[in-house]
Amino acid sequence: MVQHHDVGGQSGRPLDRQEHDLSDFERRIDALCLMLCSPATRVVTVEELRRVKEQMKPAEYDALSYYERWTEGLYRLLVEKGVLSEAEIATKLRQNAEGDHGGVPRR
Amino acid sequence: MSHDHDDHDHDDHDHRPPQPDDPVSRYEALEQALRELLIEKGVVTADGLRRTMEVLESASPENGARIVARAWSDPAFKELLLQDGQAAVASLGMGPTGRFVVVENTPERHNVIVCTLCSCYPRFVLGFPPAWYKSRDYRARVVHEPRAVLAEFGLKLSDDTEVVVSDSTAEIRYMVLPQQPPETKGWPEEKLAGLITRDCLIGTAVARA
Repeated sequence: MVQHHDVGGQSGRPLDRQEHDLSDFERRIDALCLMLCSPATRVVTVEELRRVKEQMKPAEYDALSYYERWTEGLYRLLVEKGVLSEAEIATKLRQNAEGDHGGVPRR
Repeated sequence: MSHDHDDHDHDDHDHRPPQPDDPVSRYEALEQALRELLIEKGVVTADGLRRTMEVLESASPENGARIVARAWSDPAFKELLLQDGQAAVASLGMGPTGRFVVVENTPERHNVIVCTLCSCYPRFVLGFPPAWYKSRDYRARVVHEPRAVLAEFGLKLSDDTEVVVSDSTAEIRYMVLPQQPPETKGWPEEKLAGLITRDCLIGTAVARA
């Protein structure tokens, strides 16, 4: 069965050849994934990162930008492998959204 | 780094600040959360991440241009490059991960590279791939209508030029060795390197003097 990401040979639109400087967010997630795969860290593998992206549902795969897929994929893989838990990530997201860095209560 | 209005495909020209439901800000927040937790747990270090970013930034098509300029100037290097890309670029102090295969353009044959499944790219010699290289349209079309795709880059090939499309994988990264413009024979390597653009190395352009 041809999977959704396997697009070679399909028809498509004229290319959008606009050059795109990577944002800080895009550079950071790229470096984070690279470092997690590096021989020194080896928390995940390139193959695992590819799998989680390729397992996304077609609508989700298409809705996310390239590095959004990297981020979502890394999130799922770290939870799947027990490196981080969903609960602690949710807590961290909430703390950061409230501007509470480092557990210092703010009013 | 520039953040021009036109550098992103989430077109949004009204300059509103990021919203909580904004997909971009949601993933930015997620990246931040994962990174901070991984640092707190000692899985990665902030210093290590900084160094990794520096390595990523240091790779650029100038590396690929140096390789090509050497190959144009030194037949023995060119022979090694085409036989064993990793060994050849290691002799220039560049370290690819995985197999690195260089495909040569000739008067009869033009090469172009793609990764139909995602975005594999010889980043250690070319830096970050351009957005279009990762786009669905390029990945889908270049393998079955390469001439039409190349024409969109302004590259019109004659009908008797064979076009070879090499599909990269996580194990094998390709780079194109463009043809040397005949009038540049004997030029110093630094001057030759200046003719070689990123797109020449992908195969969506040819080198011109």
